[in-house]
Formats: sequence, structure tokens, C-alpha cells
Amino acid sequence: MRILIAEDDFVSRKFLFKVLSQYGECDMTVDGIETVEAFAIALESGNPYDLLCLDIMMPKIDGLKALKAIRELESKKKVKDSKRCKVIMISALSETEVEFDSFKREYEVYRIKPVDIEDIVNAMKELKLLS
Amino acid sequence: MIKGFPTRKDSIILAAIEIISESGIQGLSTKKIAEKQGISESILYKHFNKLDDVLVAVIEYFSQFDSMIANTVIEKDISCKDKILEYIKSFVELYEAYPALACIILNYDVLMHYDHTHQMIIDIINNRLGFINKVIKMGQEKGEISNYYTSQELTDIVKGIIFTVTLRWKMAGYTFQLKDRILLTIKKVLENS
Repeated sequence: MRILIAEDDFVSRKFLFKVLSQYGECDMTVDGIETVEAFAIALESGNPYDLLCLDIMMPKIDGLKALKAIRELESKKKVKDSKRCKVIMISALSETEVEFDSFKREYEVYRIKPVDIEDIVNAMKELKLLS
Repeated sequence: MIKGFPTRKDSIILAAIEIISESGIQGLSTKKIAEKQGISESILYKHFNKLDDVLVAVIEYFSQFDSMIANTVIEKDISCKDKILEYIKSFVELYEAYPALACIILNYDVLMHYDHTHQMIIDIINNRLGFINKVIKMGQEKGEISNYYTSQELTDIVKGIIFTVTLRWKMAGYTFQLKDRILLTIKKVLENS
């Protein structure tokens, strides 16, 4: 499994890397621009990410705009809905604050910080990435 | 480089933030933004009528999550002290990862002298400090926070810590952990006031 961790906070990023690297190959980005670029390169090279853990409040371009761009890239590449990258939003903001219809369709799971190992594992099970 | 991402408008805002961080508000000009972006000034004017409009967009960008953070934190089932720390953490965590953005805090006074941003800055300061003041008051009523200082005095102390530590962080070339330093100091103040 290929995983992209988009998280600007060092401690959270390190934690997610430690947990998720047990389940797949992880790359890390620290802002919205890097995230979309990493995603585009992986998609273009035919080796796309299966899972994206995405923070919202990130430097430069926020996670909401980054996710919109990522979905547009998939759409341009004609990636089927069933094959598109699974997205876990991990944010300090509550889901009700960002839960507008246009955005809700773009991610699969939402977790509010702080997250623990169980949160991540359960989210991956929800996405059927783990049995 | 991905076509259309970030949008030209967003790129201009990000370039303006970088210039403000490097040269101050006085150093910001449409010429400098255009140079940094590798575009002509006429392209910049397609997105913003004048430099003041860029500044307005920068301030909107700077404060875009403010109400979401306040609403999230106030709903959390944690002590008032922790609410204050969570609230401040949400901001300083972003500044630590994006030091250029913290320059806005250090330029509040200058931004208040521009007609277009004057009221925006006052609203941001009032909303942010108003939230902290409100939660301190709640904490004092519940006996979680001492009444030695009034809520307003304690809010001013917290504000002073954030501003001073952020300035010191910039002066030190961003070489220490901003978030840890600010949160630890405020925690001590809230616990020992």
C-alpha cells in the first residue's frame, strides 16, 4: 500500500509515519502545494497513492483546496470512483465546521486531533484497507 | 508544476505574505509581487484592482480559520485552561510550520493604519482576545483559574506572551520551537496566577 501523509506539525507527522509505515510505504509532505505535487507525480508515474492522510490547516494551500485539486487530477486522469485514493482527514477542526456538501463527497473518513493508534487503525478498517 | 494549481490569485497572496515577512508591509509593492511570481504587473491587476486589495486578501487568508477554531474548541469537553491552550495551539502550530504567516501578528499596528485593513485587524484582535477573555472568565467562575488577575489582565498577559515569543522567535531565526515555548509559558501563567 502507498500512503501519503500530509501534515505540517512535526510531532503528528512523526506519529503518523510510525503507525502507518507498518502497513505500507509512506511519503510525507508539509504543505498543500507539496501534497498536490507529490500526488500528481505518483499519479502520473502510474504508481498512485492508495491512502492520503490530510490535515486541513496547512501552510500555503490548505487541505481543503489541496483535496479539491487532487480530485480534479484524478478526474482528469479518468480514475474511477472506486479506484480513487482513500482520504482520511485529520484535523484540529471539528467535522461540523467543514461539513459543507461539496467537500464531504471528497473524503472518506474524518478524525479530529489528537488521534491515537486505534483511531488510525479503525479508520483504515472502515476503508477496508485493513481486515 | 501543476497547471492551474495553486490558482494565480492564491499564488499572489502567498507571494505577498513572503514579501511582508522579508521586508515588512512597507516593502510590499505590486512590482515586487509580480517579480516574485515571474509575471507582469498587468496580470496581477487582472486579479486585484490595487495593492490594498492584495492586503485585504492576505488578511482574509490569515484569519480564514478563526471562527472554525473557536467553534471547535468551545464545544470540546475539556477544562477551560485546556480550551485556552488548544485554541492558541491551533494558531501557533500553523505559524511554526509557516513562519512567514506569523509576520502578520508582528505587523498588526502597521496594518491598522491602512484604511482597507484597519477594521479587519481590529475585528481579528477583538475576536481572538475576546475568545480567550471569555474562556478565562468561564474558568474563573468554575474555580479552574485564579481570580488574582481579572480576565482582561490575564488575557493581556497571554497576548503579550504570544506577541513577544513570536517576535523573539523571528529574531532568533526561527531556531527554537515556537509552539512549545508559547504553550509552556501560558500554561505556567494559567496554573500559577
